[in-house]
Amino acid sequence: MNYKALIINKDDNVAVALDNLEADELVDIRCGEDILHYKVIESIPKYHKFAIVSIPVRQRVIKYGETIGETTQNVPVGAHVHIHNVRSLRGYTGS
Amino acid sequence: MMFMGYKRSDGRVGVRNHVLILPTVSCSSETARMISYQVKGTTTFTNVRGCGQIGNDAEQTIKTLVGLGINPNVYGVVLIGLGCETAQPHILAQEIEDRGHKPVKTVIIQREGGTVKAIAKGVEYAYQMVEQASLEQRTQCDSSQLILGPKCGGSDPTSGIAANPALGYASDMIVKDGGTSILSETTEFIGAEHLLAKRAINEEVAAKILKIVSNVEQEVKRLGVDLRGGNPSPGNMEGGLTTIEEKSLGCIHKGGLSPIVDVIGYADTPSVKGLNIMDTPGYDVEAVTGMVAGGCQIIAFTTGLGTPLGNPIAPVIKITGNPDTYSKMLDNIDINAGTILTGQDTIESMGLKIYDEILKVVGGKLTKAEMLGFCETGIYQIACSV
Repeated sequence: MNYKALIINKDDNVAVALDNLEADELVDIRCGEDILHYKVIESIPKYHKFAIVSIPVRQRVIKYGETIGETTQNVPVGAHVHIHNVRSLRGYTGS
Repeated sequence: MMFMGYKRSDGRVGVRNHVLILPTVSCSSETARMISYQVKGTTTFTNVRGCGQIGNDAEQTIKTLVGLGINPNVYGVVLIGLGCETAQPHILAQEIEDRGHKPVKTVIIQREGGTVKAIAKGVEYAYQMVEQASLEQRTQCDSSQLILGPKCGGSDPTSGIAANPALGYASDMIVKDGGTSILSETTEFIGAEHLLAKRAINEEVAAKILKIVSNVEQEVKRLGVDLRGGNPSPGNMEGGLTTIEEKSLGCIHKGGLSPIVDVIGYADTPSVKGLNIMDTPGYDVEAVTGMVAGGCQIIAFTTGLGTPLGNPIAPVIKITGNPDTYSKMLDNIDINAGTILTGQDTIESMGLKIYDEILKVVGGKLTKAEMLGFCETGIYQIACSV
């Protein structure tokens, strides 16, 4: 396997790490038949997500080509995308 | 495809030949367990419901207990009741006999006069029934008679990328054989229900899919709490799943791509072959119990984080998409679908392997959960206890 991350759908704005990634690591990412290269700006735990485009606050996070939530802060390219900067758009009406 | 199974008198096909020691209530569960310990060939579980229940909650528990009794993997049933419970043993016994056309015996602890006499009678009924059950022979059966329960639990991101799509491929194969598959876990449709609704065979089924998801979401809103922590669970989040939408979009892959022919209630038996949706919670034990009560003879269960969960009636095949979990929890996992991520398998090649394993297990091969004796059972409660 010559790639360490996966973009599941070409419309996604996040990739999934297939291994633990180090801060500032240049990562080979599989997207369909292509291999793309992105630098992560912080360590990304295995199977967690990172941004492959800059995602401004309150914008949709896309995985599987579908919305999985929205950002609660500006997320730069290569940043870890998880519960600290993404919230669900479903079910909860609280703040 | 053909496999060797047990043809039952009600026309259904069993893949196991258990005598079920069925406790109607929590108060008779320990007695049932003691009887089951004594007689090889029996199976049982702990039932914490069966009393202090009202209305549709009581009805759902009774429907589930009857469904477990009539599951074709069960040759016959010895009901163990206390006597005064909501789930009245003689009513359950009658329904199992009428609908399942199988041997049913009942032991009532209060009527027998205590534990020792109840156990003695239960053991006597159980061993006579096991003796009869042991005369049953496996014969050629067709996979169109199967009802598969695909399930995921202890999920991580590998479930949605690897294990669930491969299981979905196997589920589609069962459906193509003319069989049935039941996609469950309504909570884990939230954020993905539009994709399921598009696959409904008609507008009525599509509307039902959207309605059951809306019901769950409204209930969460009514409680005014964040779904996170309950679903996704702390372990799901540590593994890398961020929101319920993300979990759902991975979760629904296990139902494959087949058209959705119907939406059925918890523990209901499908009336149409093909891919059905059953309205259950995401909580593993309650979803599996509902599907087995609905007639699933076999459960195929993906788990990124790993879980020992089994079932007293249906074999549970455990599949992980996470290669690390496979090596770490080898004693609980039957199939390593992590090979999709490490490049040795494709979703299709792994889907075929899962399908082959399903056929082996329905033909008699034991799963790890069976060999280790796991028999978790939990009935979905929908009202307060009284």
